[in-house]
Parts: sequence; structure tokens; C-alpha cells
Amino acid sequence: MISDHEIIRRIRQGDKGQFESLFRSSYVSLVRYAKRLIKDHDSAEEIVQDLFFRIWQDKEKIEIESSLNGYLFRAVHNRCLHWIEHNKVVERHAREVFAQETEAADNPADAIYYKELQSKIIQIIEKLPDRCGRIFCMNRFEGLKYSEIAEKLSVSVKTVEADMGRALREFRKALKEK
Amino acid sequence: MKEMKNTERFTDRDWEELASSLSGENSNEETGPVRQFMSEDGEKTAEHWKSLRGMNDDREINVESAWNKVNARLSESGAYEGNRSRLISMKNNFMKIAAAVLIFVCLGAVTVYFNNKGVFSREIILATGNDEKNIRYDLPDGSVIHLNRNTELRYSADMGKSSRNVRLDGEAYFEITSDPEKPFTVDAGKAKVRVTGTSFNVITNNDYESVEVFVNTGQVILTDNSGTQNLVLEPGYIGTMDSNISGKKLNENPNYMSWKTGRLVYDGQKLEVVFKDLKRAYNMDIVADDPEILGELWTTAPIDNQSQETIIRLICTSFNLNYSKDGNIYHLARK
Repeated sequence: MISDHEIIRRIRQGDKGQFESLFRSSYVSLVRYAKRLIKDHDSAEEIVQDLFFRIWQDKEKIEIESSLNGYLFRAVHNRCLHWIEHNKVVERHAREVFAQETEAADNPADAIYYKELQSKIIQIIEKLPDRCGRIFCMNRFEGLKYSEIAEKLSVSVKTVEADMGRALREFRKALKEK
Repeated sequence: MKEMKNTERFTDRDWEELASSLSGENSNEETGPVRQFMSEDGEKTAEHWKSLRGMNDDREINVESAWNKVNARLSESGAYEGNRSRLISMKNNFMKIAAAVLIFVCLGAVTVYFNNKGVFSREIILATGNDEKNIRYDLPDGSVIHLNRNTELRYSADMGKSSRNVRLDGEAYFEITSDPEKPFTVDAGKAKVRVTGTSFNVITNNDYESVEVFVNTGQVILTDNSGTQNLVLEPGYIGTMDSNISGKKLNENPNYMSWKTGRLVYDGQKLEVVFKDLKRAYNMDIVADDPEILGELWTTAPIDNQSQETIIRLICTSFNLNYSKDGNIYHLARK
């Protein structure tokens, strides 16, 4: 498995093939993650596509402090929050129009809790090291089996097991933190 | 502290089992650690872990069509062609200002030999000397070749009838007419270049003694003589190959084609770099008697098909230097 550092270096140098393979390997996970946040399938796809478009255009300027996986998810996360802000007006309008049809509003306490959970998830993703984070996202968001992940990343199933264990431990830890 | 204990009660192996179980990898057995974990799971870890997965399966995500969209958008915006477009504009500029030079070289400067080895294998050899560069030559199949100095190109007289093969020793720029039936092949000594219709530059022996190909338009396939290494090159890329190694990178040097265009542009590069380019493009040998001169930065106007005399004067005025000429070598010194 090629390192994050190497992937970024190659993309910075204009390696189109490397860029394409990054897109192909992370697209589904990112769209599913975006969909958790904005609940709109088409917009979720657009957000991720637009992110990759910008990455290539500004490839010389990309600075990545966490893992590459963490960077991509954080970028999608921020874009989704931005999208939500932008679409609030539209949403409010829609709610007024369809007031009669709308079911009882979500419990506000639940909504706050859900928001907290979301920000925890992105923190966990950012915290996990390169491979571990990718494996976690491929399994949880893309729904790939351990054996499928092992094959895709050319690692052993044992490695996937170990990384998933580690991811769960971090997940649990983050949920416990207030 | 209590929480720390809780987390540490499980070993790495336990966590692996827990993750497998919660992810549905081995759903039929519930081991001790799993049961224990579930009974203490006040934070609904298991539920949240599973929920990451749940809600998203309603619609298929088509990666192929998504990639095509992004790819098309990038192509349209020109994001794939940064270096290439610069080169093309230089070329256009060159066409305007140096048409006269082109006509001149078309007519006579190429030395053409006919090497009669028999009716069927007559070989044509084009060769340029030390003072001839950017020599244009039209091949029988309609393709156009520009030869750099000290370059030799050979091809069979019946080239274009059944196949299109040439042999190159030196440096040349090719503009190949499209013919999918008959790929055009350049035998560059240590490697072969194969195209169907495209423009590219070939150096048979670069500074690292490799074959070097720069692609301007279209696609080029670079293959070593044993046929084991293949390199597919797209516009803007430079590929290098010899018997051992091959590699490609995006061209970042706007002056790469200067031997042909006669134009050199700089944005604060060291004179050392400028002098190397002048050697390549104008065959000028410049020596700085004071090595510090080499570190000066060139930010002045581009050099654009001027005479050697004009260029050396431009350098002297810009950096307050004097020059003297010893044979073909220019010496620079501080005033």
C-alpha cells in the first residue's frame, strides 16, 4: 500500500492516474458520509465531485496535517456544513409551504445530540492513522467486508481486523469523552 | 479514571473481536468480551457503530459516471493542460515572427543523402550540422519534422507505403499526420516511440544518456528495445527511458521547446539556468569569470529569436557587465 505522503507528492506533481485512483477508492465512502450530514443524495455527490475538482486545481497548494483520509473527510464535512447553512433559507421556505404535510418536528434534544455525534465521528476519522482510517471508512461507510477491503488495499485480513479493533476502541473512547 | 479502566479492560484481541462482531463479520458467536461490552455500553457505542452503516443503502453510487463528470469538468476548465497551453502559445508566437526563417530552412539547409543499397532499400538520411537548428523537413506521409543541430534522421525511401518508421540520432520535434492503420515509429536507439497522430519532441541521448520524449499533443507510447517496458505519455508529460529505468513527469519548464521556438522566458531564474538554456537554444557558450555572476536573477524581457550579439549585450546592460569573445566563447566580467 502506497503511503499518503507519496500519493500527495504524486498528485502535486500532476500525476493524473494517482488522482483518479484516489477518487475511485474514496468516492463512495465520502458520498455516504456526506449523505449522513445533508440527507440529499444528489447534493452529496455534487459536494464530493466538486471537492475533487478543487483538489486538482489547487493541488500545488494542498497542505495536509492529518492523514489524507482525514483531510478528505474533514473537507467534505465542512462543505456539508456550508451547504446546510446555504440551504437553510430554502428549507425554511419549503417547510412553510408544506406545513400541513410535515410530521412532528424532531425532538430538539435529539437534534443536538445528533450534531455532537457527527462532530465526534469526524474527529475520530481525523485521529486514525492513514491505513486504519481508510479501512474504518471503507467498512463503515462503504459497507465492504473485511475480505473485500483486504483485497482492495493489498493487505491481509488480519491487518483489517487489527485496524478495525483499533478504530472501535477510538470510537468508544470518543463517545465517552464529554 | 473509571472510564480509563473501562477501556483498558479489553485487550487488542478483544477489540478485534468486538469490531468483527459489531461489523457483522462473525455474527453467530457472542464471546465473553462481547457480552461484557454490550452490558456496559451506556454510550450506545454498538448502536452508533452500526448506524454509520445503516441509512445509506437506498441508492446506488456510480463511481464511473461520477469520475467522468469530474474528468470532463477538469478537461473543460483546462486544468490538465497548464504547461501545454503555454507551449502552444509560444509556438504560435514563433510562427508569426519566424515564418521567414522557416521558409529559408525548408528550401536548402538540410543535407540530404541518398544511400543506394538497391532498389528496395534506398535509405534517405537527413543531417544537420553544428550551426543548423530548427530545420524543417516534410516526410512523404505528410508529417513534419524539425531537426535540432547535430541531428541525423534516417528513413526508407518507400516510407509511408506500408509502414512509417524513422531512425533518429539527436533531437527533433515531430508533427505526425494521423493514420491509425500505420502507426508512426521513431527508433531512438535505446527506446522506440510509437504514435498514431500527434506532436512530440524526442531527444535520443539526454544528459542522463536516456531517450527523452516530451508530448505536445496526442498520446505517445515509449517502449524499450526488449519490449518489456511501456510508458504511455499524455500531453504535457516528459517520459524518459533506457534499458534499465523509465519514468514520467509533468513538464514544468516553459523553455523546454526553446531550441525550436527561439523564445526564452524567465521569472527570476538564476543566470546559470539562463546560460544553460542559451547553450541549448542558441548554441551560445558563456563563461562568467566571476562565479557570483551566475547567481544573478533574470527578470528582464524574454529572449526572442535575437542574434547572439544582441543577447550578450542585453545581459551586459542588465547586470552591468563587460564581455569579450574568445573564439566562440563569450566571457563575462564585472565592469
